[in-house]
Amino acid sequence: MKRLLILIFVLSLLSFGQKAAIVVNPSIKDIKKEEIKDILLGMKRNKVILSKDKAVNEIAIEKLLGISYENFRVYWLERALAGEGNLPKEMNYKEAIKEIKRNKKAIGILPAEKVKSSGLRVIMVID
Amino acid sequence: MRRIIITLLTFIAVSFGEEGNLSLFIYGGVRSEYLSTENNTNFKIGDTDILSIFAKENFEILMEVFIEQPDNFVDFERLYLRWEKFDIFRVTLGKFHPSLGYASMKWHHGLHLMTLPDRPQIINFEDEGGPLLAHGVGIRVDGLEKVGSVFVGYSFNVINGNQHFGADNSADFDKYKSVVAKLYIKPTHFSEIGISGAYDPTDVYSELLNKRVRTTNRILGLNLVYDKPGGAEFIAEYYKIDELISDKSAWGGFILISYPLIKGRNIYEFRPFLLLEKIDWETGNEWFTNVLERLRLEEEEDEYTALAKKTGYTLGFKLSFNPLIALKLSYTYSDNKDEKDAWNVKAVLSFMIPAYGG
Repeated sequence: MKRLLILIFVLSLLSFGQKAAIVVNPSIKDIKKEEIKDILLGMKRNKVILSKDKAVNEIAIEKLLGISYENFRVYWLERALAGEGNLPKEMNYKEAIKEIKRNKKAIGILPAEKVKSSGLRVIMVID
Repeated sequence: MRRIIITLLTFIAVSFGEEGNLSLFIYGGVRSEYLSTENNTNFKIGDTDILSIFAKENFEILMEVFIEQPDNFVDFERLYLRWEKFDIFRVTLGKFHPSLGYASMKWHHGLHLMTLPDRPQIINFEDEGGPLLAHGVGIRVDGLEKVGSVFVGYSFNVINGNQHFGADNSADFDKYKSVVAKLYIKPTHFSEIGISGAYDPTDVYSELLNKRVRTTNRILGLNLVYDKPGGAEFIAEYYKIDELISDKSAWGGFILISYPLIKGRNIYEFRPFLLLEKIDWETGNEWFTNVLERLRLEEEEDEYTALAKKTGYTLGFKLSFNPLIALKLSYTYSDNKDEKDAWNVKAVLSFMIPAYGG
């Protein structure tokens, strides 16, 4: 029981320090917060890439859109079923960085500490 | 047939999934209904829906196959190819739900994600007695663009005709096309104010009715929506249907209000809802007379009753254990105009399987 409590404490410390970065292709000079919301909600057809780390997605989605990450997934399911685009993919940070470098219109939510020297443009960091 | 379709979709998923972006979903459920008109409780397996979406570059292919009970009848409910290079201009070719209102475009055949156990009657499917154009085969041009702080969208559809009498999946039975258009604004991400309309002429000989069906419907629709994921849901839609040959009108609509009262660790959400709906038409309206006659001859008793002139009140809830499994329970009272009032209780256990890529 004691070990379990220590483990929970350590895990909570780890997730407490987690930060999410909103990243785009370096060719994009500037992008406003409102435009990021439009893209994340599928109003613009830029590709959205999410982190494999759900805690990172939760931080960014809740702070930016005011809805839970689970609700965000259901929202996208509904959009997909209505024929309004496919669900955003969850990728590990290496794949995501590669994809955002390749696709100039892609936007990603990734762990902030993993994109520091990735060459991607960091639009904002959320914690 | 079902096995062939599932095998085919799985093959497509495995073959092309890595190259593009493919998702495959399966929906279904079991349900039980007590209808006061029949004084009987029925248990039945629900309809099953298989939906695949494949997107690559600027193209999207959507295929929705529906297996209907009790005959395992298989139909392609949606099947289209879309080109979508620009937000403001997309072209869709195939079978789709024409752009009337909001809910018909959002909800589809797998009703799992919908709050209600069934669609409101005014926007129900043709084979369920719905009077509007729920399906169409043809071409759609649509787009969405931000103007100032709001999004403005449009949709223009040309289809073979209504699937009551005018057309089916592969043929236009008369020389007339039907036109559907919608203009809407989204003041916020989760709200919409829309106006839609249709012009739907039909001139065909119906073997079932043993007479010529000549009608021209002019439809005007309005919708007002606030639909926040995991939050309040308010959908109000109103339609006026003028049948120009008999010069008789019909009107109907619905208001749906729901809110998640409970959210927790073991329950995704407990969402009570209230639905008010209305459907009415002038006696002598050729369109409604023909649709009702068709349903009567096809012995579609439930659908015939559902299209009765009425004011309906439905109370219920959707209990989602997680986003993939839900229990819906509802009580409906129908204050019928020409027939005896009726009520029903429905219980639906629905599920969704993200079979690939979901």
